Amino acid sequence: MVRLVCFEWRKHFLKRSIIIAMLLFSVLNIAKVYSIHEESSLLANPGWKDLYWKEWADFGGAITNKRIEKLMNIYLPLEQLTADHTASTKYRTPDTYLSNVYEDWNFFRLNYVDPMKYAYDYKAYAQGVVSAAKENIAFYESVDNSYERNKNAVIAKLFEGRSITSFAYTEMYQYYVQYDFSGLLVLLICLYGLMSVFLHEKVTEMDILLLTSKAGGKATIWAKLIASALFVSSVSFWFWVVDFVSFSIIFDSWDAASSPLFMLVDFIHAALNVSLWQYAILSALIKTAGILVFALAFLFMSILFRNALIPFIISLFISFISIYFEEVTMGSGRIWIKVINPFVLLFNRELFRKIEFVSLVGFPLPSYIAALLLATAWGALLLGGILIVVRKNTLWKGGGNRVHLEV
Amino acid sequence: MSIWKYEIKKMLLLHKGLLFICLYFFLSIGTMVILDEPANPEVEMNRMQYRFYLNQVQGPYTEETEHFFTSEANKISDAKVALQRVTDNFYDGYIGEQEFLTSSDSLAIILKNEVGFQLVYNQYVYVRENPDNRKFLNTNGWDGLLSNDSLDFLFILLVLLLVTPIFCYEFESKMDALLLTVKKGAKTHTLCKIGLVFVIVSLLCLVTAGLRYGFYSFKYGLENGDYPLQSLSYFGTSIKDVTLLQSFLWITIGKLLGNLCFATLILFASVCFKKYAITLFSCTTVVLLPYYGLKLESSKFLWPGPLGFMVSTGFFRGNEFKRNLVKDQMELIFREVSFTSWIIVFTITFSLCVVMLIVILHKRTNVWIVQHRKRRRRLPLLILVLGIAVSMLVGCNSFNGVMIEGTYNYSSKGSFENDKYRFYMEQTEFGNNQIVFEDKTSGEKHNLVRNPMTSLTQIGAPIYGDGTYIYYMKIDFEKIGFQESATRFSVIGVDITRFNEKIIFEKKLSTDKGTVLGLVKGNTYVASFYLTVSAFFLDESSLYLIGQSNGQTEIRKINRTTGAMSVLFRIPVLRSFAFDGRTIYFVDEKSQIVKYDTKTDIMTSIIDLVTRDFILTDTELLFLNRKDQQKIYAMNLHDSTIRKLTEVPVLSFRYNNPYITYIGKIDMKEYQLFIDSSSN
Repeated sequence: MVRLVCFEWRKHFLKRSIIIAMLLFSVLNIAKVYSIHEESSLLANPGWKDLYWKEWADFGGAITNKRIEKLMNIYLPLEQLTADHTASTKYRTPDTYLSNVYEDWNFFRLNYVDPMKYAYDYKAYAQGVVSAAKENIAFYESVDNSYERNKNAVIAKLFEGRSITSFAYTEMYQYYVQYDFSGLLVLLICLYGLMSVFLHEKVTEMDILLLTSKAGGKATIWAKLIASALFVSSVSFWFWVVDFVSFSIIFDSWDAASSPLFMLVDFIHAALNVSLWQYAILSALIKTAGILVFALAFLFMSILFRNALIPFIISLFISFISIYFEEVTMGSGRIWIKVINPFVLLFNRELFRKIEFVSLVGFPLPSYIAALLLATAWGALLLGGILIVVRKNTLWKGGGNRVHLEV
Repeated sequence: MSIWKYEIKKMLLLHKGLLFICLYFFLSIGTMVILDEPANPEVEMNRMQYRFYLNQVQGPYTEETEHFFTSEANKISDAKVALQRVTDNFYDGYIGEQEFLTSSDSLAIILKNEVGFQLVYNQYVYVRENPDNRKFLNTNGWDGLLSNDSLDFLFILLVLLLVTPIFCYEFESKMDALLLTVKKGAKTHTLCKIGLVFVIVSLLCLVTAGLRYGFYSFKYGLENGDYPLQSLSYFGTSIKDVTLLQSFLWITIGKLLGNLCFATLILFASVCFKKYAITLFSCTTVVLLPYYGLKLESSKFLWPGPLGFMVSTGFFRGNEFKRNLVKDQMELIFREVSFTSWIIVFTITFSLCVVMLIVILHKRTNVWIVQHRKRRRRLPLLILVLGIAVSMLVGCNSFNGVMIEGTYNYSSKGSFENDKYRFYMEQTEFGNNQIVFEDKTSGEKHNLVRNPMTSLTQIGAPIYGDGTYIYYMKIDFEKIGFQESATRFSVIGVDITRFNEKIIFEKKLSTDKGTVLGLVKGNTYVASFYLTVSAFFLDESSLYLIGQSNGQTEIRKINRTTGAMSVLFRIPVLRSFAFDGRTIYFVDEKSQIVKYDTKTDIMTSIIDLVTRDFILTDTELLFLNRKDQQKIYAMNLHDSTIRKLTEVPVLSFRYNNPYITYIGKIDMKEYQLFIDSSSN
């Protein structure tokens, strides 16, 4: 079986075209990451970058009262100076860090004061969430609403003890978690790579011949499926690694990895208590799962036809429709509609930025679990579809069973 | 000739080309009809009023227009004051009814189109910036037709479906070798195939352009095609000297060239790769990746290849900048494509096409082979798959009807009461709104919105209640980097027995292109209205929002399933307003109460009832009678009999079944009055 898988892998995926596409797409991906840095990063400005890392020695690391005091000693005078917009905008006076007071104020506010304030306040905020949730538990018990009661119990447990103790440079992660262009690249490569898996023999009409050989039936089909899964996973991981490494290098940041996920403001209600590096891995795994579901859909499409033309077009069309609906339902409170679309796995910040629940016979199920379950269901359905359609062909081609069918 | 006929037959019938073309037009028209939204929805919602003013200023900016705007603005503000005065005089008995009617009617005519004036005035502000090449016209049609850089994804798929099999089909069946034995199988046949592709693609492209033109002309109207392109704000900074119609024609020609180039590319790829999958893959990536991957919007127009020409609108845009608030400098968001760069891009693209065609001719010759194999199975399957896809497009949203109980009054928009609880709004120490409810028997106080995670969500001040549900509104935000933006407006219903929440209505507000591919874009005009909503109420099919637009208070009706929005009416001074589940009561500019039936769309005034403040109860309409020194009166809703409730003038009052609490105008003291409405 292993040899069969290896053979299928070599036959379908070890092509020059795929390797060239991977390389070109990787370059494009890195260019895209670079453009995001240039467009959005606060430190894209060299002056800001130098000053940031100079000040980092004073303010980075554990948040202590001494550090806060020191920061406030710099910031409060700046705030007062700029408050009424009458301070001089004279270029580079000796008492400014950057070109003028306003730029200094912007620099400290956006890079240090706001993020540090958020980190410092988070503990109290999380505690507030816990106490509100606990209050809710009592309240919902009094009105006999067990679903809401259980939901709040999960929230209380999740937020219990959350705090941010150290200050890190998280800008890279802020944009990394919002990045999904690589998903489109992977989807396109997989679409191309998978088209030939079942069609290769059909085009040359060798599929009939294949059935007569010993391992030509079930074993070959499974070998093809396994090889495809391996291909999809390796392409995905390659791109997720390229994403992460290029983000880290371009943003010049490796050190926020151990900060908690809720260090990112948009993830203030993060659905999991994980650190950023754990989330990066989890997100990569879930994205791969999403790609696998689409891969099965592509394979299923390709089996239905005799050449790649129509399945390719339909697959592309379906992918875009999924993306369209993902965009429509993004941020929606209608969780079921959101998680039924397997594309949500590729776009999984939607599942983790805020803990949300769906009701499964009165039991609160976190949306990410629901999305995974539904994706599994989609996968099983498509896999079943593939097996049924393929086997039907063998029956037809087998001839001997035809009588049976007609009965 | 016979080669042509065979090739056409092969493309359209054997390869189901005709079916795909029909399907394309079906989907294309469908998406246009369903998804098209006007660039400026306010104009569509106030078509009549806008037309009224536009007709007077349409055309170039002149000194007369300047005068017109000044005088009209004065006229409107004077009319507002005058109408108020005339009404006051009439109700105070200083002028007779006839005089009142004649003067108030003429004033009302002036004010009728006020919103239209606002909309045209906004345009005036734009035109005045550069009066040389900007003119007044209704822009929605042209904006829909020209002001976008969207790529027709369905058309790309159609071209791929039609063109790829032209050569790939013979390669797939290995019949290309046979061609050597045929007399006209070489050059003639290839030229014939290329010619056919060009003709079909050109025809489709032109028909599509015509269809779009027809659609926008039908939906919004495409008048004044001879006005300069800069009249549309999308092309505001353009330096190209063309008219709207010319630019549409040029853009169509550009699209035609782009699509022909794309078709050539497909032919070239299929001749080189000889396989379907890689041909399709390479051609889609060449178009889609630069489109979604390039940072600057204008880069795709400087990229040699089909993409820039397939969009084409960017060639007519000018430099555009956006202020970066952090860095305090202007950032380029669109770089103009100069004529020289256009020539260079065009020359490169054209030479590429020629090279590709030469390569095709050089490499490719082939032969017509009669195909006997019938593959009928494909058709039903394809229809099934596309049917599923189409059915996915149809969003469904089930809703269980609301039983309206009691009445809604604007004055109590922040509170609601039923037998068991009293709901009201409280301001918290952080300035956030907090909806609380009080148990009437035990006096216990709880929060209504029980979501413990309060950050990045803003609860709106107004609430609305019917018997079993309390509704509140909220706005969600997202924060990426240091930028916070509103993403969604929702109306949530909470059932009062078990406090489960359900979503009644949702609207996406974010207008940025940052999400995945940016296929769904919000409209700033729509978003800004949602952010000003100050009260709302609903019935089983619609949601009614009271908000600000162009400095006026508007009541808008929104279909809860489709999200379609329309302006019901404007209220000059919003003090009193009521809804009983079917009829809306409000005060018009003559201080008369107007009843609007939401089912039949019929508006009727209640004659002889003059007031600015009123409250609707289940059986009566309580009001401060303007004709009788602001004393409280009650009108029975069934038989319209009016009775007096107080003998003293009243400053303000509120109703709390069965009591009226009022403040006397003379002594400024608060009184409570018991009314027994059932006895009436």
